[in-house]
Parts: sequence; structure tokens; C-alpha cells
Amino acid sequence: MSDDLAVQVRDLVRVFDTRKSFRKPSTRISALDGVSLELSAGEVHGLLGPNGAGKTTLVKILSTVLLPTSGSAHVLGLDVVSQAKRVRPLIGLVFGGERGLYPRITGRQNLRYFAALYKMSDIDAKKRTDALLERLGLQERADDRVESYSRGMKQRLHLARGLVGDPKVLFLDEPTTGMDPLAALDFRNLIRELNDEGRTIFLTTHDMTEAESVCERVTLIDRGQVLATESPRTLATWITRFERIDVQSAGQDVLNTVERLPGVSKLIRRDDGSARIETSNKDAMGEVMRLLVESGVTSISTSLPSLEEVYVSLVGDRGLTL
Amino acid sequence: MSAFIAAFRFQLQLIRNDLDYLLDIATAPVYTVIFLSIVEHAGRPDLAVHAVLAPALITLWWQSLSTSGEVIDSDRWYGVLEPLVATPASLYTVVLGRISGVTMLSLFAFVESWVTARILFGITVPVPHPWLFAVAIVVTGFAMSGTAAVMAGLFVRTRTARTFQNSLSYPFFVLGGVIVPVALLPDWIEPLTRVVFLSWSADLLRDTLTTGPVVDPTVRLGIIFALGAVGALIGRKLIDALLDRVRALGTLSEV
Amino acid sequence: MQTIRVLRYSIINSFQDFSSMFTIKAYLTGWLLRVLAQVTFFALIGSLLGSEEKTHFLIVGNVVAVGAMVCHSVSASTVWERWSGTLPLLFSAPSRPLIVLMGRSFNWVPDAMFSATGAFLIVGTIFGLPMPLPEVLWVFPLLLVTIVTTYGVGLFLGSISIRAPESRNFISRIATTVTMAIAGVNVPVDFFPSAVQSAAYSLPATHGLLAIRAVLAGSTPSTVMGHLIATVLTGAGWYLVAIASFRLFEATSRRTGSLEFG
Repeated sequence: MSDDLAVQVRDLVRVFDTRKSFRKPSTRISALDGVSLELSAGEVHGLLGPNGAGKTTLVKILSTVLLPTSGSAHVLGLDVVSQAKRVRPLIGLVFGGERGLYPRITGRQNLRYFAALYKMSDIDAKKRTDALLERLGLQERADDRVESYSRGMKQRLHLARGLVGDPKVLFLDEPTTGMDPLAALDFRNLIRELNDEGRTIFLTTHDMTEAESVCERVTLIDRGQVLATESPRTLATWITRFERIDVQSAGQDVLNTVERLPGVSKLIRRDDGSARIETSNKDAMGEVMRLLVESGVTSISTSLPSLEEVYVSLVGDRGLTL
Repeated sequence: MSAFIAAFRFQLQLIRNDLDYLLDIATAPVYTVIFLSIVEHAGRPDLAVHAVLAPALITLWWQSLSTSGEVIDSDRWYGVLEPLVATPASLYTVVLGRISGVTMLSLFAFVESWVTARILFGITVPVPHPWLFAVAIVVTGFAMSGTAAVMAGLFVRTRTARTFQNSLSYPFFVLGGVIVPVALLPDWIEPLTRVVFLSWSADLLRDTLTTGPVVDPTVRLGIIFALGAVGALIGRKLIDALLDRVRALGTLSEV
Repeated sequence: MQTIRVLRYSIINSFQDFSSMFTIKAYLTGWLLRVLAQVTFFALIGSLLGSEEKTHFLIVGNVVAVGAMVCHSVSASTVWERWSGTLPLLFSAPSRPLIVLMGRSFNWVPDAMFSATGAFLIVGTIFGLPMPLPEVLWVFPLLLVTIVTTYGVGLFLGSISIRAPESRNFISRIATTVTMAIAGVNVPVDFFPSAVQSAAYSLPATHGLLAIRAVLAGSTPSTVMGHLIATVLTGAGWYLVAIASFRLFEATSRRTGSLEFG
């Protein structure tokens, strides 16, 4: 495996046998169905998909918490199955949500405990804990019980706990679920900072904006299979490939003319008189623009498809948000 | 090593913040009243030793039992088990550390029992063999932790664990000769009683509280220690197997 | 009639919950085994004392203690109701929530009866407890009365623990152990100082136990009746206190908005 790869996954399969009751036969669920991907060292990589796509399963396997059914996965050159013990000191695991912390003790006590589990001396543990609490803005409430924390605070404590072992690779599973937009924004800044420190970050999400804003590359996953791995921008251009133009109040004649131009793949007319023009090559774009301007259409805007639209057209509209 | 100590201290922190853990320790004095009242009412002050030792052993056993059953289960409930598994620390070491914290605290029941006897009944139970008594208590504590490790490994497997937790109290108090020495039980029961450290500890502790030489103290201490060590090993096997199985089946985060 | 219907449904509910917690096998090997061992444990102390009379005394006393112990579980089951998040819904519904809560934990009554009766018959037989006919037949209805009245104590405990859910186990355990200590279970009530005796006589289990002991000893019907009346009266008192306590809780939580949904 190349030294530059922080994570390497090959044909990973994970099947679950779920047995609902003794009378019913067990059903086999394929959570991961031959997933392959690679993360370079120092990359911020997003895994995007709807609920049930297999994101959490992949994170669990990579963090050595779950075994794959077949296939292989390596983190920093180490096999997550046979060399799990060597992988663990190098990684950090961050789950989203309310669970995952001891509620009846303080944030500081939670961190100190996990720091000790990463085989830190008392002195180091104290230093690291204090530093993390400060960095994540939890200093003031550090000695309050976790059950009194807001969702955003709990999330930051999750992140602190994930960082306590100074991991080279950080796995975050839907870390901003339930966060308010401001908190989520702060969180993303934090991710960038961590990445600047040279950590590899693997982040799962079903939030398009998040993937777009933070990740260098995004893997789309659905029903246990990888659909694509590209940069967010590339994925966006992948479908319609080029910009589309939105126009307001262009006359029908103009629109008809535009529609007949070579390289115009689609023209959508809307009831309010506006229209969207999609092109299939760059040259056509210029032609359309010229025609519109010459016709006196002034209200023109261009855009690239959002990740959401890319996703929807790849997967079909399955209602991505919770 | 550090994971064990961390878990030990951590458990003490948990207890400090959630006193419900100390249920059995809190009720130890009431058991002392129960047993001492029986003995006093019957006009048998010679049995005060039995009456004062029993609540301490009952508390030690019951407290360790209920908490050891909780350790892995409650971590699972709080969703902490997965992050725990992802750390370099071994789950078994962590569990053992936490159990040991509880066991150590439970030994306080010995103090409670003696103090209750003194304050409420005016009875002071003398300790003719103080060093042996102290060593026996420590070794008993060790054996309790080892045995509790077995239970921690077992409790997670069965979903009806709680219902079985019930059957692990009084049946063992009887088989453990906690107040009535196993010598008074029917002969056919004896093999059952000797498999668990409790009856050995009860007999030995009673002997250290009686005047006159204690028979074979080293051998008996050795047996108690060995039974504890065997328990610790079995517990390890169970917990390791549990972890393997659960990583394979993916039921780690099931509530 | 509305009340009866509500009560009936909540009782059915409680049995369904109960059967989801225990399978027959788990109940017998887990719970019943423990109960039998518990009474046996104390019976054996009689052997240690070398007194058959004491052994029988301890058996009868601890049979009743087992019944009381189960009734005290209302402390826990009331809290489960709170945790199921249905309390705010209950409190806003037309019928009195207390009726529901009373019915909700009712499964403990037949449980207590079954446990105590089983212990009495099995452990009693093993240790040769005299069971003279027809007197012994009276034990069972007396046991039932004792249990139903102690259920009132359990309800009161539930009204305490519903305010402090984390202490639910502590509350039931303390109630049980104190009952075992002072209510004439292991030693006669008069062994203790008079202040303790007064506390003991406030418990229906104390009087129920006296009634059962009296019937087994062949006492006159009027003696037994006297104890029975005391059982019923003290039990009624606890029911009233429980009702008042729950009403107070209901009112307070409406005012302070301290009930949570789910």
C-alpha cells in the first residue's frame, strides 16, 4: 500500500443477520456491498448518503469496532482486522448525537477517563484535557455534568474525546446532526483547523452543504455501494457538466430560438415566465448568452448544479434529509 | 496497567456522582440489625460472630454482583461501548478495574456491620486474629472481583440477565454458608458450596473471629485466592469471546 | 364506571408488561428460585439455633416478607410509567391518573401471592412446618389481604419515587429490609424499643403476619379477626396517604411543569 494513503478500502462487504424473533427466519441485510475507496494522508474526505446507506457501518469497520464480512480495509497501512490493536492508538472516533458520553459525570471527567485509556500519564492527560476543553470552548462548563450540556456542547465534547489520543486519522459519523446552523459552522471551522494540523479526516454526513464546504473529495454511497468519488465541484459538473442559465422574463420567441441552438440540452419554461437553460458544452454557453443579451434580456444568472441536484439525479429523489 | 487504574478511579467517580450504585452498602446496617436481633432474641451471644459477618459478606457479594452486571450493559446503554472498544485499552482490563473499585468500596460493609453492632446492640465483636482477619478480607475482596468478572461476562449475553441476577443472591447466601456454616447443610450439597469462594471465606473469617488456633490458614487463603483467579480467567475468556462475537455480529450498540 | 374501565385496562397493561419481562422459565428459575432460597436462608438460621420452633417462626415471617418485598416493587414500576413518557398524557386525560398508576403496577399482587404461597408450601414442607387442616387454609386469604394492603404501602412508595426516580430501587430496598427487621418477621415486634414498635404497627404486614401466626397456632377466631381488622385499617390508611401523595404530585407538577414527554 502506498505510503501516502491514510485509508484504503477494497471490496468491503458487510452483511448483517437480523433475527427479529425466534419464529421468524433471519433476514440478511447487506449494509456494505463491495465498497472501495482511498483516502490520501491529510485529506478531508466526505461520505455522503441517505440514512441506511452504509455510512456508519463503514466508519465502524474502519475504527475497528466492527468486522467486515469480506474484503479488506487498511488504516495507515495497518489491517483493521488483524492489526486492530495497532490501529487504535492512531485513530479517533466521533459519533454524533446524544449518546456516547457518561451523562452523570462532568465533561472533564469523561475526557480524563478516555485520555487514560489512551495510555497517557496523569500529567499528560491533564494537560491534553485542559487544552482540548479550551480549544473546543468547553472550559466554562467543563465541571458540570454532561447531562446538562446542550446538543452542540455534547458534540464538541465528542470531538474532544475523539482528539484526546492525538489521532492521525479522525472518523466523524454525522457529527453535526441536530446542531443549529451557527454551531455547525463553528464545527466545520474546527474541522479545517484539524486538517491544517495534518490530520486525515473522514466525515460522514447527509448534509450537502457540509460536504461541499469542508471536504476535498466526496464519496457518494447508497445502499451499500459507492456511486462516485470526486471533489464536490467535479461531482456537480459531472451531470450537466457546465453552467446553466436562469433567465427572467424572456419572450417566447427568444426562448424558442435559444432552444434550437446546437449544444442546448434542455430548456425548462416555468409558469412565472422564467426559464432555465441547460447546455452540454461550453461553446453553447457563450452562444446562448450572446443571443440573450442581443435580444435585450437583462435578467440573466448562471449557476453550477448543487451537490444535492447531482445526488438526486444519481440516486433518485429519496428524501435525503432526516 | 494504567487502564486498570483509570477504570478503578473512574468507577469511584461514577459512584460519587450516582449514589444509587451504593444501594447494598447503604442497607448493610439493616441486615446487621436483622441478624443480631435473631441471635440476641434467642439468647445466643456466641452466635454474634455469625450475625455480624453475614451482612458484610452479603453486601460484598450483592453489591459486586449488581454492579458488575451493569458495567458492560450500562456502557452499551450510554452508547459508550463503541468508543471504548476503539481505544487501545482492553475491555477486560477496564471491566476488571471498575469491578475492583466497587469491591473495594463494598468491603466497607465490614466496618458498617461492626459499628452497627456496637451502637445499636452494645455488642463489640472482638478479633482474636487481627492480621489473619485483615488478610482474609483482602483475599476475599480479590476473589469477589474475580468472580464478579465471570458475571460481567455472562450478564451481557442473556437478554433476561436481570431476571437471573435475582437468582444469584440468596441461593448463594445459602450455598455460601454466609450465616449458617455449610457444615450444617445436607452432605450432598457440599460439593456445590465449595466451588465458589464464598463458603471458604465465610468459614475462614468466622475462625479468625473465634479464639483458638485457626486450622490451615494458608491453605484456605490459597484456595480462596485460587478460586478468585480462576474466576478472573474465566471472566477474561468470556469477555474476550463476547467482544469477538459482537464485533462479528455487529450487535455492540444494541440497546 | 369509567373508573372501573380505566382500572381494568391499566391492569391488563401491567400484565402485558410483566409477561414481556419474564418468560415462564425465567420467572421460575430466576425469581422463584430466589424467593425459595430467601426463605430457606432464614429457615436455616433456625437450624443454627437448634430450634425447630424458631425455624417455623422464621419461615412464616419470611414468607410474608417476600410478599411485602414484591409489593414494594411498585416503587420501581411507577417510575417506569414516568419514564415511558406517558405521564403528561395521563394527567391531561379526563380520568384520574392515580387510577391508572394503581392499575399499572397491579401485576405485583398476583406475583406476590404466587411467590409467598409457593415459598410457604415448598419451604414449609421441606422444613416440616406444621400445616394443620383446616386452619392452614385460612393462611391464603389472610396472605392475600396482607398483600393487597401492603400494595397500598407500595403505592405510597411509588408516589415518593416518582418524584425522585433515581432512588426508586433504594426506596423499595429500604422498605423491604426495614419491614424484615421490625415487622415481626424474624423476631417478635416487642423485641424492639417502643418507638420502633409503633413504627412496626403502622405497617399492614405486621398485623397480617400476626393474623397468620395466630391462625397457625390455633388461636381463637376473635384474635385472628382482631389482627385482620388491624391489617385492613392500616392498609386503608396507606392507600389514603398514597392517594393524597399522588394528588399532591399531580398538582405540583402541573404547576411547575416538571413532567416530561418521553
